[in-house]
Amino acid sequence: MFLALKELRYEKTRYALVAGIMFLISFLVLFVSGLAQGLAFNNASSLETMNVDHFVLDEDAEHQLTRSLVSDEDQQVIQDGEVEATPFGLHMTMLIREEASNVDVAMMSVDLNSPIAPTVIEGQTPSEGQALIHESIQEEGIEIGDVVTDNASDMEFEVSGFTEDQTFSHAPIMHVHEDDWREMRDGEFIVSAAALHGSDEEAAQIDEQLADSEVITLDEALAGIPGYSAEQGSLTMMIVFLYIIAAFVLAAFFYVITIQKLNQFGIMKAIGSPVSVLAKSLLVQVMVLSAVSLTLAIVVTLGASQIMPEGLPFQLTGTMVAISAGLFFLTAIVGSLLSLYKVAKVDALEAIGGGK
Amino acid sequence: MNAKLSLQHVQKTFTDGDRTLTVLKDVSFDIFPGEFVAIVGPSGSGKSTMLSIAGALLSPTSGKLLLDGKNIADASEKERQLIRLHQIGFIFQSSHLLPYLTVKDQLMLMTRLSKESKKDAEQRAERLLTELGLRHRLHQYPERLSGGERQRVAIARAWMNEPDLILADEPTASLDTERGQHVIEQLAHQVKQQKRAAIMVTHDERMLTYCDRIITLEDGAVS
Ligand SMILES: Nc1ncnc2c1ncn2[C@@H]1O[C@H](COP(=O)(O)OP(=O)(O)OP(=O)(O)O)[C@@H](O)[C@H]1O
Ligand SMILES: [Mg+2]
Repeated sequence: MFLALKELRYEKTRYALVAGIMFLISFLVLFVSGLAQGLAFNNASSLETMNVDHFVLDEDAEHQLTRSLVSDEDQQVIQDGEVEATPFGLHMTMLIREEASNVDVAMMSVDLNSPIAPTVIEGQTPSEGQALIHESIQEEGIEIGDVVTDNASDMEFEVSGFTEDQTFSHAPIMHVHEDDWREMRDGEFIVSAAALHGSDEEAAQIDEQLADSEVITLDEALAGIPGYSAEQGSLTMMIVFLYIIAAFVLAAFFYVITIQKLNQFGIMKAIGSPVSVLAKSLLVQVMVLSAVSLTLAIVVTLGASQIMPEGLPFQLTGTMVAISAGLFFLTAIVGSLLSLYKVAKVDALEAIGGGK
Repeated sequence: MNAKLSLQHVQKTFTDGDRTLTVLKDVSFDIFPGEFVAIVGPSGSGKSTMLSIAGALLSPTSGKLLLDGKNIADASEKERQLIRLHQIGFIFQSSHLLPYLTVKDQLMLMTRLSKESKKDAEQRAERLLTELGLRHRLHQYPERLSGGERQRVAIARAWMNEPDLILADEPTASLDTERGQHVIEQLAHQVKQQKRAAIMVTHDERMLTYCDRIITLEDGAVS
């Protein structure tokens, strides 16, 4: 600590520049991570806010909720099972407006007293002929009391209120009354899927009893949404590359600094310093620089997220920040390995110029 | 009395590609506690090389190197590091201070490395620096010191861990005569008073009066 901190203080400019680079990289990492998470949430906030880990879907639906249709037989199995389950109906459709452009929505029907019912933030729950839509529909100029026409069924709905965190495949969810849902399919209530409120074991138990359906996890259901995997995949790839680039950039910086200081390491060794002291000093510097730049990056990222425009999907949870910070620390340490090797190898006499 | 340091038939050969250069051919001598020995000889005769070997910075190609009777010619890097830290004080031709430590910290570093208690060390550091006329420089960085002042800090640093053996390679080269003589006088005094041993490479004839013995190195051998 003694050496490491004294040197950081003495070589302020040099280390401030390194910390600056580290700050920019970690800021970028955090920002892209926040975007990835924001996009994921924006894509399917309805599934994430249900707070369940398992869904029952048609086996042939390839994990796509909108393609799934749970058979009557399996609906019975779910109902008779010991696990609490909430069946719901879901399909993609479009709202037709006369003087304005059409709007994509995901139409959903679920028991509005069930655990997965949406939270109403404005207006009220829909009765027959009404619809409760995600607040983002307001950006299309739709207000409470407006009447919209569903393209698939040609039925008209009056907007009764707005919800939050209810999106599917980036489209706002439009909750309709059970009776309207039945009317669309000639009186039958079509169950697309069911959310299972139980443990892994309970879910597995149900899975065994199902005939034409299967139990899938939340992650599988998310990955089944068209475009979800591609979206997350490219962002994840960017993040992975950022870490790799960070490791290389930091390795290069630390190495150049170490080479410039070989003479000093030589002096230290010549006066009897063990390699461990030198290694520790280098690691302490790397950690102090990482901690300072990371703290700054976290503060700036959180600050930026406050002033970001509404439409920009950005979400950064504490866990995500902690994971990113941990990974960045690790990256910095990995980046210093080459320098550590160089320090351990340096010959005292050679480094100080042959005893002069 | 047992020799503090004993070189027995020490040979040193450098290989540079396929050329070999034998710098030390066959060097043998003993240094006893309380002795202050000068090494003289023409440039390129191997004085610095010999001193590096004695200071556990360089391993001899062959021969024995006894420190307190123990052969350290083939000591491991770790053993040599500990010897350098605790038993030997080395003063290089140029001061080799760390740019980011103040004068006093240069000395305190030695204490930290040897894990001694800090309390007496602070006093000893200040006393040493005062003796060498650096009292007013305690909190300055090396870049603000003159060459002579830097060399005096290096000397104080070599003394800091109270080693039994002090090795100095032209320590007075960058000092004026008066200051140089004063420093050597102090070194000689410490050696006598505390029964230590010191070897000094020098080109300066005037410094020889403080030494007990003069060893002349010529062409890689004691003559
Ligand atoms: N690492 C090395 N590799 C090859 N040759 C070396 C090496 N170190 C020293 N030499 C050679 O060994 C010889 C003796 O060098 P040394 O530095 O010991 O001389 P010196 O007596 O201290 O000279 P000076 O009085 O000029 O300081 C020189 O010819 C030098 O070139
Ligand atoms: Mg020399």
